[in-house]
Amino acid sequence: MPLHRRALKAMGCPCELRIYAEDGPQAEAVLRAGEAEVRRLEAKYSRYRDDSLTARIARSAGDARGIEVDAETAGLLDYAAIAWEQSDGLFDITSGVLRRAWDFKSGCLPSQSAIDAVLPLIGWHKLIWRRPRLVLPTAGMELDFGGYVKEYTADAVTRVLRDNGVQRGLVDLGGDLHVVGPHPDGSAWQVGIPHPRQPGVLARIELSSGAIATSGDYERYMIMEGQRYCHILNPKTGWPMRGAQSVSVVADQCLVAGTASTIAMLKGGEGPAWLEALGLPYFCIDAAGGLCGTLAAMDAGI
Amino acid sequence: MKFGTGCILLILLAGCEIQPVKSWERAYLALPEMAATPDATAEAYRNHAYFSKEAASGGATAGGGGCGCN
Amino acid sequence: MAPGKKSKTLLALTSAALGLPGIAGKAQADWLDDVGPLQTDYRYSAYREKKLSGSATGGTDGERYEVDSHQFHVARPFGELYDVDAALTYETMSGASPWFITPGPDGKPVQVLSAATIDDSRLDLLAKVNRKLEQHRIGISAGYSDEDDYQAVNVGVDGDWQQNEQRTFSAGLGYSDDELNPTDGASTRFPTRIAKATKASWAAFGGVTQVLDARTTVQASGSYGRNEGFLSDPYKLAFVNGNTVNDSRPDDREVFTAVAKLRRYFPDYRAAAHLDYRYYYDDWEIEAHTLEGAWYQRFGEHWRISPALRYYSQSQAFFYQPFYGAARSDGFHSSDYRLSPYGAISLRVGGDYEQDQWRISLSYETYDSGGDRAIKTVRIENPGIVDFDIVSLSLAYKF
Repeated sequence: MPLHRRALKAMGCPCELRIYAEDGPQAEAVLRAGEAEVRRLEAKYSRYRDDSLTARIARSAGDARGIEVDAETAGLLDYAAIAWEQSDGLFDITSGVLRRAWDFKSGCLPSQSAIDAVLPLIGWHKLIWRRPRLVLPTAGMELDFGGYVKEYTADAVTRVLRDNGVQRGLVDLGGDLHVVGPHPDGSAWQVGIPHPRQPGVLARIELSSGAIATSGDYERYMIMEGQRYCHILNPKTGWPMRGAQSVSVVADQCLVAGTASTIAMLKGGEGPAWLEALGLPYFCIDAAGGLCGTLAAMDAGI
Repeated sequence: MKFGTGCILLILLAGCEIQPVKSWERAYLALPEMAATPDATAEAYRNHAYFSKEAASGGATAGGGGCGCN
Repeated sequence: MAPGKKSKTLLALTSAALGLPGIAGKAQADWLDDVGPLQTDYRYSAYREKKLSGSATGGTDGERYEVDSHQFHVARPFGELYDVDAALTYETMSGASPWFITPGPDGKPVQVLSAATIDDSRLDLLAKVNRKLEQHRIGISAGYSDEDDYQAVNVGVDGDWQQNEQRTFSAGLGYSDDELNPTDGASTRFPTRIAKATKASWAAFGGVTQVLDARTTVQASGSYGRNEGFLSDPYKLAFVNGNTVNDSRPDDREVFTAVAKLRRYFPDYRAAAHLDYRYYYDDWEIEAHTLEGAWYQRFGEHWRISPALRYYSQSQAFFYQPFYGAARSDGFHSSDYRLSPYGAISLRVGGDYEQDQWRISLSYETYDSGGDRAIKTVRIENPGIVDFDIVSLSLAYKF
């Protein structure tokens, strides 16, 4: 059975859909449907578009009547609520406003007053979420779906491909992957874990089913006076966490894998212990560059 | 009559090929401007005006009042 | 996947993830669909007929008709299965109406308008209840209409059956019972004008809507109707061989229509195009064609502009004549322009502004008729055919 692939740039990263299918034109149509799903979610939750739902939610901030959301968004908000609870408030989708203080491209650290200015706008517990109505009580508050919508999209695209009859393939959205099914000969996909400090791959994991997501301190960062400041910011202080260099988690859903890896990074030094308690297979590269985690033993080497 | 049949066939053939549409693709079809009647109140008024001034009446609806239109 | 202990956290996250439509595969509601509990709208429309020119009246310009309409509409779902829709229309009308046509000095028809200015009001109520059953919907409707000289009661039932994701069949049946009590009926002024008359109408329709692809739908439907009773206009006269006689039409009329509609969305333009065609034929031998095209264009987040063009053409009723040299053997006489051959073009433009729960709309339509606009050649244009303008303003609010 031939492999059909479709590469696209979406959600700020290079993505690739790979499927095994007999019929060429039909495979193209299925890949098109998969891409359409990526574009749909990208447009709906984009932080950069005026007509996205994220923008509409931001515009409703300060309005006591709030905004009514659809079933999909309601599901994502319910999920965010659980993630916030289970992470002791570290996974907080209201923390997107911190990007007004942090500009990683500038090479300048924000002043404490700039951070203090946005901290009052952060706090999931400050929102009123009663399905289907969402109220952001203070003007200036925002919801940022960027912390988990990419992983959700990987799952949603997998669903689209499966609904179209694809049984073997891989959805790769910039390193957040969901396996549709193993190769036709039954062999697993070889997934590369990026090296956090050098270009290239540090390790390879074999995945014949499920999903994997990686969170690292190398995605957006700046180094000031030898100290690394990365985009994984603590919503309570506004400052980045320090701990592992990278965490990869395997789960049935890419969404869960992504949340787990993000929360592990947010927990800083306590990350690996939290992951052990969670019970999912994980791979982590600690601050010193050492490998740890249940998958470290499964590492197929480079 | 020929003009009429021609018009109907033209409209129906305009997008003849049927492509399956998955539930996640229904975004466009759900837009109000894609409905048969985007604005029911406006349509009711216009139909009332046309039906009272023209000979032709009716379409794909049932019910609705008569009037002593002059 | 390594088996083993599943923590409370993992269970919580996993079950929350499975609540998402993209993961569990439930059908998604589109985020553009707003589901509001109670929808209300009010629409004011000003209908103004253009004056009849002196050449048509054989004298001075004739003022015609004007109508001011107020429409109130509410709609609300009740639970998962039911929804109710109710509309009230209140109109006031005044002006003169075509009365009869006489041959002018050069043999050309001259329109005589009614001397008395009509000052009337109309109240119309219509309520519908819909119930969903799996892939189907069934609805019943009832309405009442009241004017000084006219009352009508109507009932209807209709339903949709969704055969699959892309095809829906619909059908319906309607019945209306009308009673006329013409002003000045059987009076000393108009002794031959009827005092009371009744009319019964029923109609059936059937149709199918087909989704062709993600941005195109097509609808085809047909209807059959029958009107029985007093179908003439009690206020109009016909000029027969030097005398005026009452407008007299058959007491039976069978009506057929066939309609095709196309809706197509252009994502690159953020616009939808509409194309509608209706074919009409009745056993008074009137054949009419209506072709309407509209373009709904979105601008930015809030605006939508919709220009539209409508073309209409009708042929004449078999017993129609502007005036008669001799009486007809079947006794039918009518010079009503609505049974005459003519065509009309109307241009319409509407604008909508939508924000949160509000929508405000403004529209203007100008309707221009002429014998020269009809598909077939019209030898004598009825002098009473009408041109009108409509300006409408509407406010809608979703609670």
